[in-house]
Amino acid sequence: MKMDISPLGERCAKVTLEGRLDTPAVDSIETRFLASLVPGASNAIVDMSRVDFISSMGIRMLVSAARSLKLRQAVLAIYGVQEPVVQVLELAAIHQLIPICNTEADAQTAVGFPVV
Amino acid sequence: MPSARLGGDAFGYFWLDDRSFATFLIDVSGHGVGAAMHSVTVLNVLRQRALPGVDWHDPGSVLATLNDRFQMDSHNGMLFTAWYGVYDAETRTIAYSAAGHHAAYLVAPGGGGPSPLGVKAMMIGAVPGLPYPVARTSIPAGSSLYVFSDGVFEITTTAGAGWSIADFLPLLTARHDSLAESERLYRAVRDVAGQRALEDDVSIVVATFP
Repeated sequence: MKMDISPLGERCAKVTLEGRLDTPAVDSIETRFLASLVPGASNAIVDMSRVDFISSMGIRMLVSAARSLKLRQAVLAIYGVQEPVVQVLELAAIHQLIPICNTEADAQTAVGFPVV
Repeated sequence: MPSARLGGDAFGYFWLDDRSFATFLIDVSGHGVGAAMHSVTVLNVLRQRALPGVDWHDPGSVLATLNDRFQMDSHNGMLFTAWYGVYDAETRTIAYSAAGHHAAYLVAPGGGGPSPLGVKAMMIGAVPGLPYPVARTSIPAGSSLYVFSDGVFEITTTAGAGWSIADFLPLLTARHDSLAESERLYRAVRDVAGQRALEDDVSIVVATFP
């Protein structure tokens, strides 16, 4: 699993994930993922277009981040999700906590931080 | 079967009265002592039916109450998926609900593929106050119900390909009478993965309805 985190304005970050978001991947990226977003209460958009698999551990990582950010009045949104991963996220009704968007622009709007 | 590391699967079944049979499976995210302890805690609550005010015949009531009781903020960040069903032997119907868990599958005699018994709802512990919808289906005589954890199909084959639930489902109808169903399925999955111990816990509950 590859992860890239870059600033997107003052209080928003863009996270790009690539590969299988399974238990070994979460073990390797979760600390940096959470530490990069939560303490600074940074809104986050996550590019999932190159994630071809997500396990329950992957869902837990996203939920943990979204909940922690929500407590800090920040939002995490995901976008570009591949169909097999969408099916797993729908099963878990993840949209009740995390906006699932089609495009990066939609995700920016969902976190209230559109970049013009 | 546990994976190479301590895991978080648990399952159980019990009669609620002389006509109602309940079965459940939970899968705590992650491995290690924390996941295993959380799994045991939830298992004990279910086995002892220690949720005051819950109607154990109502899967929605059971899962909604578990969700409110096991919020991740109060339980070391733990989430779990769950499937809970209650079979009524008089009406030959099963009521079921699920929390972030893939469908269970019903295989009826006389051919035809496995039928999914699934509900889309949030994992337990993520968001408080959620409802958990209940679905019902009839159970033909001789049917088998398969409730299992994702460790059964989230495997990598000996060729290095990632499996999915669609790859696993054909095994349900490839019955072989010389082995117990759960053992047969476990061996088949292990053969595909080519491993003595699988990557994730594997739990398989098979209920056959006379």
